[in-house]
Amino acid sequence: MTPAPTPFNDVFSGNDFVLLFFYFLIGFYALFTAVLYYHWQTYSTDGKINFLTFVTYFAMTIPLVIALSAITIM
Amino acid sequence: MLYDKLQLEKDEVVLKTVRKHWFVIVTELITVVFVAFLPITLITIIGSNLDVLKSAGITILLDGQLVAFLTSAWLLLSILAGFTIWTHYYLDLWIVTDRRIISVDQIHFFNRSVAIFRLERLQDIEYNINGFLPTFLNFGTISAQTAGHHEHNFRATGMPDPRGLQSAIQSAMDTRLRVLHIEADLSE
Repeated sequence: MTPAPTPFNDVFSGNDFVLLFFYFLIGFYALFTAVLYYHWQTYSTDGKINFLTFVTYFAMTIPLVIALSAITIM
Repeated sequence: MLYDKLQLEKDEVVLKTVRKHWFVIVTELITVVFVAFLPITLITIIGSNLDVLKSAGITILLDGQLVAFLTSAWLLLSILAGFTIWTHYYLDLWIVTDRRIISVDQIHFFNRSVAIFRLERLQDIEYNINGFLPTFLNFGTISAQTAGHHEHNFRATGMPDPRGLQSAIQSAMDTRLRVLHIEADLSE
């Protein structure tokens, strides 16, 4: 099955859209991480909970970010 | 840290720090987990029924790389949503000291309100446990009314052990009033 031509076919390919979405996602992730870090550092009441939150956050998100990067580069 | 920002008065003692009941966050996180695994479940169902769909005349073209990318992106966004819920849960709290109640309301990341109520100005403290689960798990709504130039009410939902919290605030209030009366008598 041949994909239907779109007005963007000459400008963007499917891979470019994936790359663009990846950059957007990484930007959003970086911004979110900064906001999250600021809030926990400023408004938390317990340093131990802060540490546990950040460890869990990075343990859950970094593998996904690596996977996303690998898929995008491949 | 929060206590530096609140600038507690000299000799002010924190009696209790209260967050919403665990049931509140568990229900929200279960929803996020369900939503996070929705695409994986959907892909698994479609993948295991490709023959059935083909025989019904439905052709689905799955680009493995694109599916993996979108699923990972979806999972990442779901995890961020989960941490948003956790942050709002943990940073939203009531601090009962021997002089005042500090209510910190973390509505979302860029909307936060902090209200301070002096114990000697509190009038009524009321709690309400409504429903099967709140009764069974012991959580409910607590509200209080303060006296002043402007009548002001404050209210928190999903608080654990509202009966215990009410009595803790009541006894802190009584102690505070006693201290103030003693101080007034001594100054005369």
